[in-house]
Amino acid sequence: MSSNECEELIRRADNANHDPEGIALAERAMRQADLSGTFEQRLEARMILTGHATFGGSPEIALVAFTWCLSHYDEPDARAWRASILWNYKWILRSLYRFPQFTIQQCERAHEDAMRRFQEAGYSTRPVLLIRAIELCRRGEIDASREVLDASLALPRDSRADCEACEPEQIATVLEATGNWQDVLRASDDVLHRGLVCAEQPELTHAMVLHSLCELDLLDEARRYHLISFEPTLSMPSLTTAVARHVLFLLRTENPERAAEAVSAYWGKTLEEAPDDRFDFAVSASLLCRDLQAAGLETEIRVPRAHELHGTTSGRDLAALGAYFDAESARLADAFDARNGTTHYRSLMARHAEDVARRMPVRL
Amino acid sequence: MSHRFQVSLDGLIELLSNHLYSSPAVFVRELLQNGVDAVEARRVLEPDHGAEIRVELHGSGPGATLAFADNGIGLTEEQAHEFLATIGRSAKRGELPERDGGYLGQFGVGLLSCFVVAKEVVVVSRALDRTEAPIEWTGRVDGSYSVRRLESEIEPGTTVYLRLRPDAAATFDAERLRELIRHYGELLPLPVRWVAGETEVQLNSGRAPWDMAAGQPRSHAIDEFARVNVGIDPLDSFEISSETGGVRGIAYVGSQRVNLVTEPGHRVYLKGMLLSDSIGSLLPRWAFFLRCVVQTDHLRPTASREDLHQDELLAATRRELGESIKRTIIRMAEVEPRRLKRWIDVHESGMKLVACADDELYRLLAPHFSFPTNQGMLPLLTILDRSKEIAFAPTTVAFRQVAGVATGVDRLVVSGGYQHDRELLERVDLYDHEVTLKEVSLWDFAQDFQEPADRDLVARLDEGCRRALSAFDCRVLVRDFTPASVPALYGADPEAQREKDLERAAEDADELFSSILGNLSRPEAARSPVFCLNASNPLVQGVARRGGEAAETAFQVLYVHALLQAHEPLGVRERQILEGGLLDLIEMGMQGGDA
Repeated sequence: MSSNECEELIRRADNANHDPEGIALAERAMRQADLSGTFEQRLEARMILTGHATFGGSPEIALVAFTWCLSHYDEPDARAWRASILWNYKWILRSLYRFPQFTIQQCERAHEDAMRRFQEAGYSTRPVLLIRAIELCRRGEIDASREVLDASLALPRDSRADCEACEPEQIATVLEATGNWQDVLRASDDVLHRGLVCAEQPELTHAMVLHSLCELDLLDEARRYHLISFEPTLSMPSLTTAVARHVLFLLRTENPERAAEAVSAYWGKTLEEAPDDRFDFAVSASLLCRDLQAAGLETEIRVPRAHELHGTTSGRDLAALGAYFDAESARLADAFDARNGTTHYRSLMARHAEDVARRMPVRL
Repeated sequence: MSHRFQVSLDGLIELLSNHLYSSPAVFVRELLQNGVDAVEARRVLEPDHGAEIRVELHGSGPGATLAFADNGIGLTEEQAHEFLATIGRSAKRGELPERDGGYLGQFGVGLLSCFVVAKEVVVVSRALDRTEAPIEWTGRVDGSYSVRRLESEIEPGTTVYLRLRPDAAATFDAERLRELIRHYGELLPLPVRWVAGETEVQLNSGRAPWDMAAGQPRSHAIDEFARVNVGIDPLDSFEISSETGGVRGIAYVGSQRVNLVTEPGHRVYLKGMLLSDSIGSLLPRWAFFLRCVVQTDHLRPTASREDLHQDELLAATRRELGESIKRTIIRMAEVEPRRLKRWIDVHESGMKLVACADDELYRLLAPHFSFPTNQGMLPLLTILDRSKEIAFAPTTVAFRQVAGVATGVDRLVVSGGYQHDRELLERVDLYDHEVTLKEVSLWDFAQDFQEPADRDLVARLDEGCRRALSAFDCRVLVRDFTPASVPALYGADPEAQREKDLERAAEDADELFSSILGNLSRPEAARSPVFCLNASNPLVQGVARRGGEAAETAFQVLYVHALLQAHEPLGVRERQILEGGLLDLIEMGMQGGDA
């Protein structure tokens, strides 16, 4: 196959969606480019694959593809791609923390590597520090995360920073962990009230603020954002944590059947997501099963075809599904806590259960 | 000491024209809007008032003056100071008589749009109560304005005069202006007349086609509306509505297929005024193949009034419109199946997305869908007739690798690679609980093949082939399979391929990322690719009998041939075999012995 034919494969992959088909096309383009393409084609195919896999719910594939790109970052022929590689590095950094099999030392060394590369390339390290702040608060290191957030926000924005619509949600994630609900809303204001949009905004921000709005008893506003973004969120891949937030909101506001719709609709999309995202989903699904059983509701939760339970467990067997999600969330929590040397994930499970128990009925 | 903000009108106009309004032509809509609101305000006080708007162009080219006249509630001198010259202050927020449904304009910036096309705007107005003399307000683009009282007697109402800038006069001639008035004001519930000398012509019909009485003229008018205003030739149409959004109108099914990536643009009228003909967010995403023309009374516009505000009202309206469409499809499936079939014939892709969105619709629509298989496009029912276990390949890449083999062994395999097909196949048990789905690969086919009875043949083939392919990573199998015409098959395990990708990446990585990838590696789960020789194939039997160097070359060529059949990438070594090996075999064939 000539490099022109490689080029054709790469173009097909580039035009595909962020889904298994797009990933398969990009993998094919990558493998053919490895055999008969130019260096640039090998790089381009992998950059496309990194994008499809990141946003198509296959972070492991993205990590493998991206690693090759990073390994060749310093080569002269990669010069035109360096800015894009640094952009993709942000996605990969985020996903590294979300796998418990990567040690904290590995994650932090990758973080330092990213900081160095950004600085050497003349870019602000604001987005890299912001990722660190988020991951610190995911580990329960709230004070440290706040310090890093402040350091991040003191740095200028430039072309490598996440867009003005996406960055607020990340900032709000850190602020939420501090329990300052008003700060969460203030940070999210541009998206909530000034109409900033992006590929995943306002959906991510709307999901983000639901808990804060409940804590502040601003239920009308919470209801509004849920109604606007619930269905669009379910239709998009790689928004597992946002879906989990909607499920928790629905449970707290006594809308368990709608929560069951969300879990049924989205479970299949989570199967290859990062373990941290699957933890969020499992916790919310576990609480859903408990709720449905307690209410005596005979709601079905559809088991995805590709899941190990398919064919052996009925979607109406809430006890069995609940047991599965309980075990899954506990397993993932223990894996992360063991990696981090804390009990934070276990305490997150307890906190979500407590939050959901504080009912605030809302008619949707 | 307090101060007032200074406003640069020039700067503000530039801001509006470059960032708020999509086109300088919106001044026509703004003027129509003001006129409509004024007459509606008068109607609150005088319900039987015969409202109208008259538009006249005096002259042409540089110096042309456009006049928009309404016989509405008019303005007093105080109101002229307050509302015409205070940007952001709209009379419609609190000063006009309360009206069910509110007014079109709300934001207080409409008149500014006129300065995009005119250096001077003159407003002549007489308030309805006639307690004051008529006033003439003149605003200029430099931010200055003047107001004077007129001695002449005029009827209540307002006329806005725009002395068009030279470039605007060239763009907005009589024909263009009439077109814009029709474009924006077609459904306004009052006559908009174009005055040219002694002649007047009403430009708008004032009535939506769906408001006509049922019958042939109505359906003709609905179709014609689509051709003229939406730019599509409709295959079909149906009414849609949402009580929450106060929405009523028509959804059109076009006679041409629509691509999912095409942003749907619906035509939305707000209280009779065209808001936009490219509103994208009105319907659920799965209804992308429809184009709508609707009126709404309740949905809220953005500040530019060219789009809908993304709020919970729109979200609820979108849901209701979606339900309205679903009910239509369900009814069609029950009582007009031929009509539904016409939709599916043109918009199968769109209807597949509809089925993905709703379980009930899935059950109704799934029997009508066709899927790509290794035996061509087949309807689902035909696929299920063959077997209740559907063998499928999840992507087009996987399908191309397995299709040829599947055909050879007379197995049906369905491709799940095209848009929505995988999702539909994964939910096939919604249609029939007994149906199961099995993902297949070449590797899977090979496991089912029979071991040949001739052990001697197997031994010769096995030994010879392993030696010939020792430089390649594959597991050699010798089996009997049908059809006997296929000499060999190659099947790669997707997990093995990804493991190879990981090894390749780890080789070049630094110590950190090499160790990170090491955490992902699962070599035990990866199976070597399989190269399976068909002991039933006469060519393969002949190679076994021949032995020697010729057999070695033949095995290598058969290997590359199998790679090609499986659409696997060829490396340098494989290409060398293809070129060199084929020539060697031909030469051997000509000479009747080893090369």
